[in-house]
Formats: sequence, C-alpha cells, structure tokens
Amino acid sequence: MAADDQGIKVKDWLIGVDVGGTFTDGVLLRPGHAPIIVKTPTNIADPVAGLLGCLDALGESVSISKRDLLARTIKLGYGTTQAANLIVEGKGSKVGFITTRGFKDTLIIAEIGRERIGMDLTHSRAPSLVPRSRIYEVRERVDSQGKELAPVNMDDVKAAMDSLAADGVEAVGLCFLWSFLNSEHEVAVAEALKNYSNWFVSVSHEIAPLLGEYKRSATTALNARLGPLVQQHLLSVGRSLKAEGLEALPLVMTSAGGLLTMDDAASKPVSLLSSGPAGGVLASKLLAERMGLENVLCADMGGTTFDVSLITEGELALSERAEYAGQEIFTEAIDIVSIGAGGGSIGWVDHGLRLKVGPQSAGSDPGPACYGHGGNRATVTDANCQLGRLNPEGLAGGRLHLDTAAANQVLTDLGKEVNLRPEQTAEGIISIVDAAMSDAIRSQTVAKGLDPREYTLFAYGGAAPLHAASIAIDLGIKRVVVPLLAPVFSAYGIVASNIQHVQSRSRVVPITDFGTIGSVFAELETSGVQALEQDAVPETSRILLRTAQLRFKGQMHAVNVTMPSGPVTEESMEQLGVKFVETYERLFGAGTSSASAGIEMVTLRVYAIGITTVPQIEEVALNERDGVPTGNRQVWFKGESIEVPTYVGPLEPGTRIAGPALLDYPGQTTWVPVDTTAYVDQYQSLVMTVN
Amino acid sequence: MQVDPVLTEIISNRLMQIGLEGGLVLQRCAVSTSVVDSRDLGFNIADATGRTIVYSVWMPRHGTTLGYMLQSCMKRFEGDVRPGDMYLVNDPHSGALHILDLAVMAPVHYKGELIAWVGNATHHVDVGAMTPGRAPLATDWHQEGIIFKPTRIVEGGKIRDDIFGLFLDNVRMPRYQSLDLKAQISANFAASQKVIDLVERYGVEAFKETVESSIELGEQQARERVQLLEKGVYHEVTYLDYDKLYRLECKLTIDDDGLHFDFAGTDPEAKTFINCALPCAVANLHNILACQLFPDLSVNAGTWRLVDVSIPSGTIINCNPPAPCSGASTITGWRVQGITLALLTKALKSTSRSRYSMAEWGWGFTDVQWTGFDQYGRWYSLRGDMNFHGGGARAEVDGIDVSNIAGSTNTNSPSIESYEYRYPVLYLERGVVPDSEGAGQYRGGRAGYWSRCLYGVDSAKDLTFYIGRDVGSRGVFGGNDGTSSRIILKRGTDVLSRLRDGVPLYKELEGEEEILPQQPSGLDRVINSGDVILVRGMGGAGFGPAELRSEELVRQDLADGLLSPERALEIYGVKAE
Repeated sequence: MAADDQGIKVKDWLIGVDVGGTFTDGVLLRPGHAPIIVKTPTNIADPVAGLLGCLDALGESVSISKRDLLARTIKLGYGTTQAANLIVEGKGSKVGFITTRGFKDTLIIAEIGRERIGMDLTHSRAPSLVPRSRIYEVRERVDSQGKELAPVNMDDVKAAMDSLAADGVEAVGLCFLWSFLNSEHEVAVAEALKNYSNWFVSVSHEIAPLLGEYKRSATTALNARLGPLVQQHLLSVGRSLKAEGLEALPLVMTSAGGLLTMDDAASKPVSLLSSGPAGGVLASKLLAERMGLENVLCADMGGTTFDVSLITEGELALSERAEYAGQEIFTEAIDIVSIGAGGGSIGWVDHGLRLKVGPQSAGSDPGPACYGHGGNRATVTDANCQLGRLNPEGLAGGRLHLDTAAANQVLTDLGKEVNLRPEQTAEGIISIVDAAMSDAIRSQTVAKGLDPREYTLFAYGGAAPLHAASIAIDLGIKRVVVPLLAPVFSAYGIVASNIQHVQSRSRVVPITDFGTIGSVFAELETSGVQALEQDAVPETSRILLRTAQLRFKGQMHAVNVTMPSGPVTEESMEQLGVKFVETYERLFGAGTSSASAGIEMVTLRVYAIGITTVPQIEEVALNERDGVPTGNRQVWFKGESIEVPTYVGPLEPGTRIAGPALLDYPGQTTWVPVDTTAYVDQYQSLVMTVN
Repeated sequence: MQVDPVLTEIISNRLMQIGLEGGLVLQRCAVSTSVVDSRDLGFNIADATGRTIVYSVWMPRHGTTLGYMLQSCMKRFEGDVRPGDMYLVNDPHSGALHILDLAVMAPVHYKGELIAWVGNATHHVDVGAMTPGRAPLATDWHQEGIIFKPTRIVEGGKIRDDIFGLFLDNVRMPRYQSLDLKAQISANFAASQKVIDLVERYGVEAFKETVESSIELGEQQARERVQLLEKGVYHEVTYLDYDKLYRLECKLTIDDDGLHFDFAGTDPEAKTFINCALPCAVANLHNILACQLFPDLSVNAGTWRLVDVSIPSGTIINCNPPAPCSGASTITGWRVQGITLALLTKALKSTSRSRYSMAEWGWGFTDVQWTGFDQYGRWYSLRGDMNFHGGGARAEVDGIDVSNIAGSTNTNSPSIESYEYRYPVLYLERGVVPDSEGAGQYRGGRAGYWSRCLYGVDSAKDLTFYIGRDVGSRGVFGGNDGTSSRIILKRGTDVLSRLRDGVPLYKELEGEEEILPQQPSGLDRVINSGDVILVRGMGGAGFGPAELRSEELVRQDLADGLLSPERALEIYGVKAE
C-alpha cells in the first residue's frame, strides 16, 4: 500500500524490530492498515547497519524513505541478541573485581556447581568471569542483620584501584557480603571508582540486590563484562535512529518482557539476555487477553530449538535465575524452556535398532539437504519436505526453492539402516520430534502439577505451525492458534510492550515485621517512580505493582504472590499470609504447608510500569464461508499417500477449512491434520480445533 | 523379531521422561534440603522381572541401590505382590546406600498383570540413631536407627497408618520427614499412572519390545566401550583413615566378557560406622563407571551385564549385621569410587579414550556439626562445606579447583550469606588453598578451606568427624599426591574484639591450636565464643611428571596467585619473573 503523501505528519506508527541469529524481523503497524512484515538478513559484523536495513525494507513496503518512516513513528521497540551472542562467542571487556576480604575466591569456587559441569569427569567448570589476578579484596564487613562490623578501609580501595588501573581494565564489578541489606559500603566504593577513572562500574546492590554472594557477584561481573560493548551498541543505535529522523525515544526489550530506554538498558546489559524470545511470549499474552484465554502454552520452533513458555490464569511464568557462561546468575526473566529440536535437527540410527533425532543440528549452514547448500544429513525439514508438507516452490517467501530429490536421497540412505522406505523414515523422524516436543511441554506442565489440556497452544516461529496440531493431539489439547503475525511474533511483542523497571530486594524477615516490609516497598517504589520520571512517563501513565516471594521458615520452596498497593499493615500482611498458604497448597499439595513454622519474606519486587502507545489487536468482520483450495499436494500420512488440498494465505476472516489441509502463508506452512478444523477468527489468527 | 525403530524410540524417550518427572514430583512435594536443594535422590523404572530400564535420572549411584532394593522386595513379597502396593526399604543389606537413604518401591499393574516397577530413594535427615543423622560413635547397627527391610507401607493404594506412624515415631524431624516420605509415595503414584497410560496407548507388546531392545542397546553400547579398553589384569591398593588405617584392595580383569572386579585382600569389617554393605560398594563402583566410562551412554540393566563385582563377606565393603554402617555412603563408599577410578585409569591410558584416564580426586568428608540454641532460643544443627576437595588431574587438562569428590555429580555449596542468616556464626574466610594441588604435567585441583566462629551465642556442642587426614589423593603416571584434609580448632582467640579493623583471618589470630582427630573421642566437645575452626579439604592429585608441565601453565598458576614462587621453582623448575 502506498503511503499517503498529504504531508500529514501525525506520529502514530509503531515499529518493532527483532534481531535474531540469521534473520532480522520487522513489523510496521499503522492504525487502519494491515500490518507490514519483513525479514531481512542479520548483519553480524555491523548490527546497526542491519537494523537500518530492516527499516529500509519496511519503508520500501509502504513506498516511503526510511526518514519519512521514522518521522511518522511514535514508538520503536528493539530486541537484540547482542548480549547473548557476546556470551556465546566468549567476548567481552576486560574486567576487574572488588570484594570483601577473605572471600576473593567466591567467583572461582562458584558454589562448586557440579550440575553446571555435568556428569562427564573430563569436563571442567567454566572459567571464572574475572581472572583471579584481577580480583581485589578490601577490608570491610557487614553482618547478617545489616549492621556494620568493620568500615570500608579506603587504603585497601586505593590500592585496588591503582592495581586495576595498572591492569588496564575497562570495567569494574563490585560485590561485598550483605550489600543488599546495607549498601553504604558499595555506594562509597562505587563513588571512589567513578571519581578515579571512567570505568564501566557494575555494583551488586544495583544489579542484583539478592541474597547469595556468588550469584550476586557472577551477575555483577557478567554485567561488567558485557557493559562497555552493549552500552556502545545501544547508544549508537539510539544516535543513528535520531540521525535518521526518529524523534521518539527508541526502547529496547528486556528478558523480563518490558521495555527500557537505551540509557537504562545500557547500564544493565544482563537484563537483555533473552530479549527476543520474551517478545513472542508477550505477544501471546496480548492476543490471549484479546481472545479471553486464561491459559496458553507458547511454542516457538525455529531452526535449532523449540522454546516453551506458559501463561497460566493470565500470568506469565517468571524466573529469577538463569545459567549463562556456565555461571548461575540472578536475572528477572520470562521463564522459557528450550530443547534442541528444530527444523535442522538431524536424524540418525543407533546400532541398527533405533531411529533418533537430534540433538545435533544442521543449523543454517549447511542446513537441511533440501536447501541445496550441501547438507547431507536427513533433518526434520527434509522429513517435512519428503512427506509433501512443505511447499516446494519456496520457503521464506519464495527466496528458497526446495530440492526434493536431495531430501529423498538422504532419507533413503538413512532408511536403509533400519529397513524403512524414505517416507516411513520421514514419518518416523516427525513422530519422534513431535513426541519430544510434547515431552518438553509435559515437563513444563504435568511436572508442575498443571494439566496441558486446560491450555490453548499458540504456535509461532517458522517451523511450529507444521507440528503444532500433532503435538496438541498428543497432549489432548483441543485448540491451536497460529497468529497472523506468527513469523515475526517477537518483533510484534516488542513494540506492543510497555516500559517496565523491575526493582527487587532480598529481605529475609518474618511477614509480621510489616514495618520493615513497608519501608522496603516504599524505597523500591520511590526508585521505580524516579526511573519513570526520567523516561518522561506522565504521572497518569504510571502503574506500580508489588510482588513478594514468601516461604515457610525453614523450608526451601518459595512462592511468588502479588501484593496490594497501599500501606503495609499488620492486617494486610495477615491477608498476604492467607493468600500464600492457599497458593502454596495449590502448588505443592494439600497438607504440605506448615504455617506454625511462621512465614517469612524472601524477596520483594516492584514493577514500575510506564504505559506507552501500544497497537490494538483489531477485530475484523467475519464473513463465514468454506475455504476454496488453490491446489493440492500429495502428502504421506499414517503410512499412505493422500491428496491434500492447499490454500494460499492470508485467508479471509470467517474462512473455515476441514483437515487434511496445508495452508501456505508467507514464511510458514500450517498443517491441518485429518479430524481437525481450521478457522480464521476475527483477529485473523488461524484457530485449529481438534474434533 | 524386527523391532519398530520409531515406536520403541518414542516409548523409550517417554520412559526416560517419566523417570525425570517422577523425580520432579518428589522434589516439588518434599521439603528437606537434601531432596530439594542437594537433589540427593534417584528414580528408577524396571520391568516386571526387575531389570532396570531407567537408571537413576538424578544421582547415579541410587540407580544401583534401587535395583538391589527391588530384588529384595520381589523376594520378600514373592507371590504376594498386589496392585496398589508400595514397599518401604532402608536396610543397607536389602540394598540401601546407607540407613539414612529411604526407598519406596511400587509394582505397576496393567489389567491385572504386573508389567513394571517404579521406585525412588532419597536421603532423610534422621532415622533415630544414637546421634542425629549418622552415628560416628556407633558400635553396632542397632544404634544407627530404625531398620526397614521391605515393608508394605501402601496397601490397596492407601498409606498404612500403622507403618507410617512407626516411622514418624522413630525419627527426630517427623514434621518434615512425613512430607518427604509422602512425596516419595506421590512420586511413585504419578509415575505408575504414566507408565499405565503409556502401555494403554501403545500396547503391552510394544512396551515389552522396547524394554528388550533398550536392554540390548545398553549392552551393545557398553560392550563396544569395554572393547576399547586394554585387556589384562590391573591391581590397586588404597587406604582409608578413621580410628585406624584400613586397606582396600582390588584386582580388575578385563576380558571379552567385560569387567571383573575382585576385592579380595580388603580389610575385615570395622567396629565403627565406616563399613558399607555390599550394595553400597557396588553402587559407588557403578557411579564411577557411569561418569568415567559411560557418561555419554544410556545406562540400564544391559550395561551392567558387562560388569561383575566380587567382594569377600565380612570386609569393610561387604559387612554383616550387626556391624555399624551408617557412614558408608560418604566414607568407605567413596574409597570404592577412588579405587575404581584408579583401575579404570590404567585400563584407559593407552586407548582412544585416554583423556578419560585421570588422577585421584580429593575424597575426605569433613563433617563439622555444631548444635545448640541460637540467640532467639531456637534449636539449630549446623554443618558446613564437607567436600571442599580438589578434582583429580585429567590426562589432558588440570583438575577442577574445589570440585567435591569424583562421583558427586550434582553438588552445590551454599552461600556464606545463607549460613550466616540461618545460624549464629560468622565466617572469616572461604577460598582456594594455594599450593594444595598434587603437582604434575597436569595438576590436581586445589582444595578449598573455610573458617568460622560463633557469633551472637556463647557456646555450641560439637560433633566433628572426618577422614583423609593422614592419607591424601594419589597421583598417577608420575604425578604427585594432593594434600590431605585438616580440621584445626584454635581456642580462645580475640576475634570478636578485633572486627572493627576488618575481620581477621584465621592465620592472624593467636590461640591454642588442636588438629582434631578423625573420630571424636566422645560427645562432650564444646565450642566457645572466640574459638575458631579451620577446615581444609583435600587437594586433587596430579597426572604425569611435574617437570613436563608447560611453563605457560605454571606462569598462569603464578599469575592467579595459587602457586607460590618457591613452589614454582622447587617443583616445576620455573622462576617467577
């Protein structure tokens, strides 16, 4: 659609960009128009150029220049894998570290952490985030009540800074024992560090004010290591966008599913580690809300991984710890579990007895055999190709023509090892990978006491719509939703999010200590409000949400419960206690609570949210009709070849199609099995119902 | 019969997943640290004849003891295994790792036919011994707690209140332990139902076909791996120090049939709690095989067809009642791990998997236990980091600093902050011990150390025991031994009055020093305000001669500050710049 050249410069366009490993996804949303989606190659060498290239492509789609595009944009949300990539590639800045005397080796011992090392006796622990020679000790001490035992010895600090300067470090991490209870020592030393040099300074009570000095140190050190490079990148993105004509403040997506300004994100790069995947889950939440769904399983299947996350009773599943660089760190994130199953997963035979799939993947280079880039192992995509489920005329919007003969060859070779014909081998690979994905969902639901049959499955990412219906049938799930924007769902979720600052603090006190709890919440809320003020969020657009992590004294399981706003009183804490017991017993079974032991607060959190302009998922008029096939393909299904009608999307809302059918949309194909009905609903999603 | 390569793969993956989920249910419903935090648990699935199909998805050695306990259950209830039954076991001679590891085993019936077994084991904090937990002063097994040979605890799908009550009445932490035991039962209920659903969906025949082919695959994979080893006879002698020095001896024969371990020559059983019953010894041996020889394979009953173990009756690793054996799991059991690793190392040395040959890992068990009432009048029992040992050097890479023992594959060390929050103590330091490694071309991992004193209370009762004070980890192929463990008590220091200038380190304090004996002389040792305890784990041993170590690696150790210039020159011949 051409842009209207009326010279009207109303700023009401929204742009979301998600930079992935191979492709950069872009989405442009204009009120009253259909969304524009593009996929451009990721530019690893020059990520800023890659981002601008994606914006060029969006502009081209509406026949205007990037400058005009940006001039009409009120909000630009950006998702980046840069921080995660730096870790994978082992890159980062030269870091020094300062800690309490006597505890220099906290980062070296890393809590022993044999689980992270694994069962193989030749494996080693990941190297310390900071070499021991650049970790310096300072005399100071606070006790477990937050009381100062020894003041900071500034001579030690001075000596450490001189050494750090001599080492030539670019960033400094700082973590003292008990600093999350009493941050005065860290504040004083951070001040000294900033006065001494222009190091990137990462301070534990700001980055992760939580109990556990190793995880707090690791988080702080990792933040320091990523800091200078991420800061440079984000600031350069901000500058370039401004230079290209963007007047709105660009925002970047965090792992926790909220947006931050480039400046805020640059000071806390550890909060960006799963920036992209969080977008897809958030987009699912918005669509689910619009559809009135409480329970959703978000399934994202790409080339190498299958990612699952849950929305239960309208709430995202959140986690506060994650493993990166072989270290356990504190990071507020949407809980996403990933298994090695994707289009590129390779099939193989174990001792002539078993057909197996993965965990090895052909990745994007050479990729599946049918891509014709020299792949010579049978992958999941080859199996889909062999079964006739993929459109041979092209994936990725016709840019990729499929070499069906190559797929047939690798599957024939593999099948010989187990006496199967290539179609049987292909069907075997698909059944095995589907079962593995079902198991991944089971371990996220059944193992946590949740029933997958009470959920709707949302399928997005290139490969998910082909597999979603089979997985749903396996798990007894009745409904599958493939959103209209499925191929760029993360980019959509990114621009659809709001500003969010997560403020957390460990404070282990009985919940009867409402004075302490009230003052900590007040502190957290004050800093949340300050952050929103800095972002220029007007007062009427600010929301403060409280959550508390509680446990029975002496027990291990802690549970998150939301807290009402307003003053913290004896009464409100009593109510919180009742709510906690209910939640606990629901999660861990009746009779498992032990209220007589007393309930204690572990972690307090405030989510300071700044409401921004977000796209509305518009309801479209339905025109009930049966779909008209545009062709057909021979598909191998349960041991026989059947003729399956094909449809080219996007289909009109109200269209109903009975399976078996294949729906070819730009960037993805949806498989509608026998005994399943597909329907395009008022939000233009494909909704499959298992009969 | 041609097996279905797709269906059996799907069923086999699902069984593995059921084992995993069973363990997750146990963790979710249990409350004790040992289950939830340390994940000291195992979950097995076996077929109707008792062959293990899913071998402990969690800590490896429980997989073997669960197999033994299943055999004991099948024997005791032969002809009387009814749908809806579950059996409780903690008798070490019926298969338990030691008396503190309780297992619950459940038969799985489908349409009246016994088709499978599920079962799990986990560590309980107490079983009513003469002292809380283990009984380092026990002289016979009746002092070690209540003994359950296989006992029907669930009947017709309902918990038997009489047996459950008997258990609770005999343990010190009934409130927590009742939830832990119920969690074990719930895990079995959940897993049984999932096995039934699986059979319902794919049929009994497909299930049986999967079991057979899984076991066949396990055996084939293990056989190929064993074929890689150098055939011959290997011999090792090793020692263990507690109230006296004990000797373990083993001869390993590798031939076309597999691995044959013969422990003839091992010392007769001890009068104290360090003994282990046969299943515990075999489980620890299997644990090392799982991590050193088969870490990439799926282990099941087929794997163990290649391994046989012979241990003379009446020895410290195959004791008979009434010999005490509550210390088995972390003491003699760990020495079995050590000797197994040493034997395999020789057999792996000149093979394509030579990188799996390695020096001995640190193995002591430094158990400092302080009990008393805190400043709020609450009773506490505090232990501490018991396994701050360095890992053994591997053929191509240094040992891991502060790694815990070789076979303990899922351990973590709590934060200082969590200790200080929960208990009335102040830590002076916790770190890596420089120069504690067994030197070598590849060096052992260094030991860790920690020191602490009471804080906020005046005194506590102490029950400290350990092993490995007089014997260290042993180097191989010319590598040196690692340093041994130490527990030292410094009495009457002025630590608490010196805090203002920064918490002093142990070495900066004046006081009367005592290197503690491995076995406590009694129950009357008291820790007072100002006393400081220093605990040092064992250094890992070295691999290959120290003079072959690359100068670059020596310089790196110097730069890290974990190798002194004197030692660099003396042992490695490298002069610090």
